[in-house]
Amino acid sequence: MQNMIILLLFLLAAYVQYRSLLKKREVRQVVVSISFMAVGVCLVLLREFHVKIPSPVSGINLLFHPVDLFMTRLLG
Amino acid sequence: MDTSKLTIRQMTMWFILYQLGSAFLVLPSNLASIAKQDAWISLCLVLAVQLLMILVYGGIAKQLNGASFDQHLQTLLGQWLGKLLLLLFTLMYPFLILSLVLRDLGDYITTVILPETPMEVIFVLMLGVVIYVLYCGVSTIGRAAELLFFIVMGLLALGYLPLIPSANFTNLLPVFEFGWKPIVHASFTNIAFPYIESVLFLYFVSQTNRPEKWRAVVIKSSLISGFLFMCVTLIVIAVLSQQVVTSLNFPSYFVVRTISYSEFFERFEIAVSVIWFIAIFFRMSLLMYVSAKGIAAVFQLKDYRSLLIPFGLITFVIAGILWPNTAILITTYRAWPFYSMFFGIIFPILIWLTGLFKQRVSQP
Repeated sequence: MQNMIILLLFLLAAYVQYRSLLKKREVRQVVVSISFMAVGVCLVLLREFHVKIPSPVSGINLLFHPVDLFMTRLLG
Repeated sequence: MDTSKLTIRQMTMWFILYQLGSAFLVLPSNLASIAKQDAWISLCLVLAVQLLMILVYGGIAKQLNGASFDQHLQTLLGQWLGKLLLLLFTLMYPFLILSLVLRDLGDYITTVILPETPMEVIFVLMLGVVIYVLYCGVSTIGRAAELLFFIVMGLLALGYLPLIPSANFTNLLPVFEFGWKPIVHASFTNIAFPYIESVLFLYFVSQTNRPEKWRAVVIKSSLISGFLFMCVTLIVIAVLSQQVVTSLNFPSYFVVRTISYSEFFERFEIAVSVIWFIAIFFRMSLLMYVSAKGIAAVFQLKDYRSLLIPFGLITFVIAGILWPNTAILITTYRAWPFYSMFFGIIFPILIWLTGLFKQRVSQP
């Protein structure tokens, strides 16, 4: 529920901004912005429906934890 | 009025507040968990590495020649490769740090100050402020930095100077008890977080009227923030002893609670939270600005402002999913420096060398 309210707030703010941008005929800006907005909306909806989104941090840990272990052994 | 220019003074203050950012609260326990009572020596090492890296960053800044960092990447590597690199760099470095910082803030506020408030509310309030200030332009943030810098310094003095009488400096002895290895090991965290993030300051070279001063600004801000870290770490360890510091999540916050003068002058640890909140605000606004600016350059947008709201939304979700528990957070603190060094040390050195090579080729 919280997520949906927050999503609505963001969409409202985006709508106000796009309207003024379209008046200035800045189509490129609106298109790029809407593409990123779509990613954001998808992420919020996935989270709202409790789909597990992989965390970028787990990838970093997977790749760099061995480096840390190696350094710990080297400097331990 | 031009809202995209900063004065040297504004830039210095913004960078100092950026560097104080999230490291200020977690740094003493991170350093002390590895280097024990020698944590302050590792800070000296960190500053030495940072000054060396500033040579590289300064070299790149000189190569820019009035162009912005994103334009420079594109002229150096060609339009497509430059854009691809810029896209990857922006999404994997400043944008990811933005989510990490927001999550740090949420974790801190919900554990220490407002335990019953959902983290999402804190995220949205902070993002709202950051988006708004970036919408107003960089010079607004510069002026805010000028105002708030002295409040931060005043609160730091209020929080930490009264601790000096209760500091027991024998807690800092023996020096070099475990040799140099733990000192070097502990310095990794602080090098990555926040010092080599200075590569992001390269975006601001074209943002000032005197680009030749940029290197001096970064050196000055690193030394001042390094000095502040050093004072805080020394005081925290001297007052609490390293055994206690290691087991606390936020020692710089906890230590201020120990102040008590005749049951009157006490319990103002909230001052530390205020410092942190202000510093995080400047940190997030810089990261958000750099991310939006980078992506705007990739897609050839005239203005970065249209990207702020979508970025806010994505950051909001990513900050919520970063780590499910503290165990993963601790692993991340250990693994993060090596990831960060990839972008903060290897990437700028490659750019610098490519620039040098290109200069050499074009003027034989």
